[in-house]
Amino acid sequence: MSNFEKKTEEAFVGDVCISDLGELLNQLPVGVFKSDEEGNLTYMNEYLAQLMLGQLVGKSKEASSLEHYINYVVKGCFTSGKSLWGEGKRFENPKGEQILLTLRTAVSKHDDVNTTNGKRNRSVGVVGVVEDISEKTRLEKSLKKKISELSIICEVGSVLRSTLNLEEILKIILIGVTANQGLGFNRAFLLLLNEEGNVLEGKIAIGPSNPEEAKRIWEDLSAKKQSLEDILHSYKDALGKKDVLVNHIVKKLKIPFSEQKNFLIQSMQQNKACSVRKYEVDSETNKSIFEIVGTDILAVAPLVSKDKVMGVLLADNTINQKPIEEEDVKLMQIFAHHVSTAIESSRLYRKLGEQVNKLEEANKRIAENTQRLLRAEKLSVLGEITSQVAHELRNPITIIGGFARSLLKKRDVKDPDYEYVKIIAEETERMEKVLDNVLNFTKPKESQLEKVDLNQIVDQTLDMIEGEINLDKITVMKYLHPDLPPVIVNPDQIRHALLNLFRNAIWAMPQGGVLSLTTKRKDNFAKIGIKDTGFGIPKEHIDGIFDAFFTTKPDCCGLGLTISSEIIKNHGGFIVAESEKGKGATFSVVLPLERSCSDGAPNL
Amino acid sequence: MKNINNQPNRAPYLSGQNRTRMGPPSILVVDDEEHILRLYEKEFSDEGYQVKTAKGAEDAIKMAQEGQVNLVVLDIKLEEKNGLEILSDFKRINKDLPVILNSAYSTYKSDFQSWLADAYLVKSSNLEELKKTIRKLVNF
Repeated sequence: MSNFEKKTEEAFVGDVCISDLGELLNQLPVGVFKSDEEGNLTYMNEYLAQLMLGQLVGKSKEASSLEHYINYVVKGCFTSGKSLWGEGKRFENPKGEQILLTLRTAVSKHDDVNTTNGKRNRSVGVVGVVEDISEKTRLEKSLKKKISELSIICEVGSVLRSTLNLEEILKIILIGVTANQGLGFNRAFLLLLNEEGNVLEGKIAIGPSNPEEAKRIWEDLSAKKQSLEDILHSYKDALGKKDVLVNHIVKKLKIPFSEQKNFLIQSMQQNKACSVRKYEVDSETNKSIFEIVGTDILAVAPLVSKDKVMGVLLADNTINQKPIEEEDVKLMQIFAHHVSTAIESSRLYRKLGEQVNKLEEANKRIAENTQRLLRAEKLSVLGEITSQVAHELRNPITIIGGFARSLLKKRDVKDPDYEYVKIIAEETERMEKVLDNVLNFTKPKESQLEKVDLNQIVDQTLDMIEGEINLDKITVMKYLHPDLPPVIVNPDQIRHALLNLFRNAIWAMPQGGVLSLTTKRKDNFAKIGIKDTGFGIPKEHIDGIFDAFFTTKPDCCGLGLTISSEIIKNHGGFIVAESEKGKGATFSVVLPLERSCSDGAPNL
Repeated sequence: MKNINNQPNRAPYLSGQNRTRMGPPSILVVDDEEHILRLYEKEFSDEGYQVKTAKGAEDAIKMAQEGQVNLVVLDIKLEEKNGLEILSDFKRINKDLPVILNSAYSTYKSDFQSWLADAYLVKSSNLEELKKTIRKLVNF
């Protein structure tokens, strides 16, 4: 309450009317006052007059009026002879809103002009300005907060850049979320999607197990006054210990990605951070997350990098029960966004490392193989030369030895030359043995025997002549024994043998028909049946069909069936042909099932 | 490896009445080595055969066509035409004409074409095996 009377003065400073000045001052959004030399307020503008109706906060009733405070400061000015100011006084304005006021004063010495006699009087007083700085302070505060947030992200970012190790990155993230210099949460939990991307799994967590531990750690931290970067560096090694309660908790968190109603999965899918309260969630699985973690409210921020969902970050204040503000969640989202990039980089780096390792491995193998090939090539060249020389020698040795033997036949044993010629014959024989040994050593590898599935061989052979079969006319039926035991054969040769038989059958059906292929087992033999519905083989021809150059095909040399028959014979089997003219033919290829690989190549 | 292809279905070529002419069987030796021809000529003559020699495909085919040959001993590595091709030619002319492949190489045994021959023998200064095979094939 003010007992101050508003005074209006009329005076001129130059062309400006002081009373006009008073009007102007009344328009100002700040309080303005003036005192006389005794400290009594002689002027205040409208704004200040309004403010006077409010009161200072936290003062006794007598001391709570603004006028009382202004008088107190003005007196101080006179006593000290200096301009004084009061900063950030909390004040309740007449509307009941809490605001912050600042008071600035200046001791003024000026000449008053007496308008009646024109005489100038020197007078002393105090002028002052009262300003509402609530908005300014609020902006300053929020700016400071923004700067501190940015510096957290910057600091965490710089530490994150120092490593590409995923485990270290995860630890740095957790420290960033919980350090007071960071986001300042009590506890933090990190969950990542597994490699297959179908289960969200708890990985690592940080936070005290109980209020006592929290107090100890927090006191320890505040005593050391470390920067966030120092904390990140010094605490990351202590993290992730299995015997810590939070790590037991985090390992219990396993959520299938398909659980669309889970609030963690939803947060990831919508790429949106949020705070969730236990009483807000409905499903049992959602409730169970709160029970496992042991909290009532959780801040959730998804870890998403370039649309790739990686996991989710959880934080709570379960120890000190500090409420989780919207601002905290927002900052956590920004934070999560930054660390996602780091996690993604680390994963890419690991993948790159794996690729590099694979490449190195492959290079090593190539180098080894190259060496082996070079060695083999050297040996092979050596073998070729040896073989060439040996063959070149074979003829002259045959001739020398042959004639020596020829001479021996006609000579009498008593002939003095007999012994010498005999020596020539024996020595050439010795040379031939050497040649045989050398050639046995250098001769090309025998055809390889393999354990094969005959059904597969039939299919492969059919694939080989697929293009030759006019499927409009010829139907291929397969009746393959599903449990045919494997046979040990040279697969290339058997395919060749079957190919000739298949071709023969197709050739026999120019008007079309059915080619039936069967495989059967009988005792220790496997039987492949090739049956056509073609024109058949006349009775008189059936015995000669496997002979060389036997053919009824005008454009054919008659070797196909001979070769097939020879191949099958060399595998210890045989081919039987049955036919009647006009009723098609059936060729049965019979191969023994039990042949051991040690038998070597089939006899060719 | 067997020295003779096992082809039991095929009847031994010659019996007396089938000979192209009366008298001892006639053997054609095809080889590009002059001294091999001389050796074989001498040795087979000693055995009582009539021996003809040819250094290349052209002469050899001509003789076979003239029907004066009862058996052929054929080298494989020849200067112009490969012995295996000549073998096919012989069999085309007369599929019953016995042919013995006789080469310094054993590797041709794995060639399908060599399977047409009645026997495959690697060259050796000991001609007993060769002579035995000839005797068997011409029934002499």
